[in-house]
Amino acid sequence: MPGISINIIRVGSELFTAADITTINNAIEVLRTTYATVGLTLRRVERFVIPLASANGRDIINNDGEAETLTDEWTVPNHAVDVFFVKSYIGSVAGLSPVGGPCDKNAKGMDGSVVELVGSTTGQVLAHEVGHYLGLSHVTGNSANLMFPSVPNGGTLTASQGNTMKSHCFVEP
Amino acid sequence: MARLDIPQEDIQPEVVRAALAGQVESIPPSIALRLIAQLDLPSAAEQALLLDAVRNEKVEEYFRAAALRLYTRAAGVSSIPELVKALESPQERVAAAAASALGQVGTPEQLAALRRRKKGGDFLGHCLLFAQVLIVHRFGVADDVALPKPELQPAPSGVGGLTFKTVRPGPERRKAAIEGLRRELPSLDPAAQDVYEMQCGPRLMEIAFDRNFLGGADGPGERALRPAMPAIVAYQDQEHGEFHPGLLVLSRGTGKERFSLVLTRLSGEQLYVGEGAGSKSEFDFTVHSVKAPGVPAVTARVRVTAKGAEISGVSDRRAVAGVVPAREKN
Repeated sequence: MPGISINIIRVGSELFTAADITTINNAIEVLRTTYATVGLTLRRVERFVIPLASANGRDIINNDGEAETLTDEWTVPNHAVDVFFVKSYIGSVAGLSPVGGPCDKNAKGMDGSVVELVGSTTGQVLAHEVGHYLGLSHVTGNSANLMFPSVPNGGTLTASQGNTMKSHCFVEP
Repeated sequence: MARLDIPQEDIQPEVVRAALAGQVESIPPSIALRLIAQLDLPSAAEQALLLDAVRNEKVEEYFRAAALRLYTRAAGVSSIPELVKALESPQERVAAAAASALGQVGTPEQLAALRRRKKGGDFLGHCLLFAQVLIVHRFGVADDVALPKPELQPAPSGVGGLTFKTVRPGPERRKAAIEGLRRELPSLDPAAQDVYEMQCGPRLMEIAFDRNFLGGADGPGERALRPAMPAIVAYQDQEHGEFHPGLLVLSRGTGKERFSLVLTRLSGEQLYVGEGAGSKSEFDFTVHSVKAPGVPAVTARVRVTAKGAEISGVSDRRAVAGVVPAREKN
């Protein structure tokens, strides 16, 4: 079965409590379960940290520009989606990702997903943002779909969306 | 981008107040901060709620810092006294947020407070320095405070690179860009801006150029001789199309008819620097990229005359490799 891998990067790692780590682990399971419904496996999950002293203040994302900057400044050199977890993303959104993100993570432009810890909804935010990275756009008018613009939602994916995700260059056969 | 849909029963001032104080298990502080905007409160009440969060020392440091940034956006220049107080906070993240906000809304009167604050860690030191630089440039203060000289990248090879050139945008994108800039920089005067547009690869940028740079009340070009902030670059978000401030353009005279230019992120990191010659009515700069993670090699020519600004250049498709984060220890 085709699969993807993700890098979990905690920004301002000292800020994350044991409960926060549990929230991230639960979020990964939500992504795994949701993607499995369209035949996409979650393979490797590698974990990284950016301590506060190195984060240059990006542990608090002040705007979308800072989210993009975070993904530009830090890169894990492997064939996996970089997912940056932050404890605070100021504004109305809880995550940001390019639609159809690049596989060359040193290409110009945003090259990772940023996800805010928002309690039990974090899993859907994670699956939604990685969905964007793998090529999915928003689906309006169907709140049962994971790619509905707001979360929580029904969290489902269609076969067609699954095919789109499986055609991303990060997906391994 | 995923927006959070919060149940209506949680959008109540008393619930939010309790959540801000960390007393509602199901609503973490980051969500509580977000809820304030949805309460539809009068401006003064909204600011009071944010101030409660800023002053609550039982709340985690990062959250107080985030509340301070939101409070500054809501209160604008009225937030200055609170920012000066927060600058002395023993929590460095709070002090750094106060310094950054003072750079954006403060006046030359706050320069002394920024200089007085003990530096602490590298991040706070950077925020204090950049806040001073920003105030000096926003107000044209004669002051030597400056960012350190960065290492530059070689010019892009040109072959296969992305070219860019300014054009004039339509009224819709002009309006969207100004609105996006004013969300974070409320002191920007829309009437004083000439807006230009530039597409570089997938990136759409709108450049708000301050007409007073050349033709201000001080006389033609006088403003340009002092430290100035002649332009702000807004980036269009690739996911939902909104504009947000991406780069601040800072200039200053460096000698007889010589000028320098530096383009920084809002958080103060230098991305592009340039030097050039000019008179009171015409400037010509060449701009190069700083060697920093995530920054592509760029060479650009910036020409400013009474007729307007022209920017053109070439950018590499790849950037300096990002820093590799440390692997988590088990």
